[in-house]
Amino acid sequence: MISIQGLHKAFESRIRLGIMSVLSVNETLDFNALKEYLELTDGNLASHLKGLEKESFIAVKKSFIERKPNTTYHITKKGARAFDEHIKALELLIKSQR
Amino acid sequence: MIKEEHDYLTDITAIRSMMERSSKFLALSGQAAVMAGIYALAGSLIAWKILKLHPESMMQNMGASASGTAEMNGLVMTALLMLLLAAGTAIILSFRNAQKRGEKLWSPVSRRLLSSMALPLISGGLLMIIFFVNGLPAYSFALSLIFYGFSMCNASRFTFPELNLLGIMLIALGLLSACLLSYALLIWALGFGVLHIVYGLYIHFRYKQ
Repeated sequence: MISIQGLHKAFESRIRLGIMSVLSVNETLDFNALKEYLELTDGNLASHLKGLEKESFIAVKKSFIERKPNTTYHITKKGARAFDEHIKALELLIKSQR
Repeated sequence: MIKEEHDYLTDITAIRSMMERSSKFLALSGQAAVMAGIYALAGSLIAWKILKLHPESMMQNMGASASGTAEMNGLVMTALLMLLLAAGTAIILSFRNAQKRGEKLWSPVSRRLLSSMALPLISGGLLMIIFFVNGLPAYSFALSLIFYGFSMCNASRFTFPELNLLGIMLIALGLLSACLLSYALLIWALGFGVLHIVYGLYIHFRYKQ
């Protein structure tokens, strides 16, 4: 097991990487928008969102729009930093392997 | 365990494309911009040749309510027709583009794009009506260029960044046309017609639509 500085275990899954990418360039997104971008089923997306929330890389805001519940997600400072480090580590790895 | 290099590369590519796809509406059609330019040139020609529109003469009966005269009615009808044709073409061609790219036309990004354009377009449109009703129709050319230019600058954040420069050029032309009222129609045709066509071609070929 070689640990590489900057790479996060939480981002090993392509889906979580996708969620972080989308949230890093959008201030907030609701569940349906995320589903649309990532082309996932409700259950699959929800479980990955839970995972990232547990790491406090993303945060959830629940509100009501015309009495219908609306859940929006946004990236946390911690999440943004971790994602940034992850990308930098990926780029470094690619460069070093060339 | 270290993943293969290939994996990291696809990770990065996936990240970049997700970021782009979720923050920019790139299905906006360059072809539609070319068509909008052609409509604008045709409309300007109609206004000039058939309606015998000379913005300078519009200023002579300044103060008097401009609406009601046949010339003005014709101008308004031509303008509305151009607007409808251009918007319709943009929607249809962007829809086809979005389908080709496997994206949706009505998505969170396209909604943000539209709402970023809405504020300058609506406020500019209202101001044009106010100027028109108060007998200053000649400024319609400048106002439409300036406020449409603002909407392009705003829109550039959610689609091709080059639109920012287009917006700035349109605003500059708008200000110029307010100074040179007798050339307002010509300048308007340059902005809405020629610039649209040049930009549409650029977007079409640069982004291989």
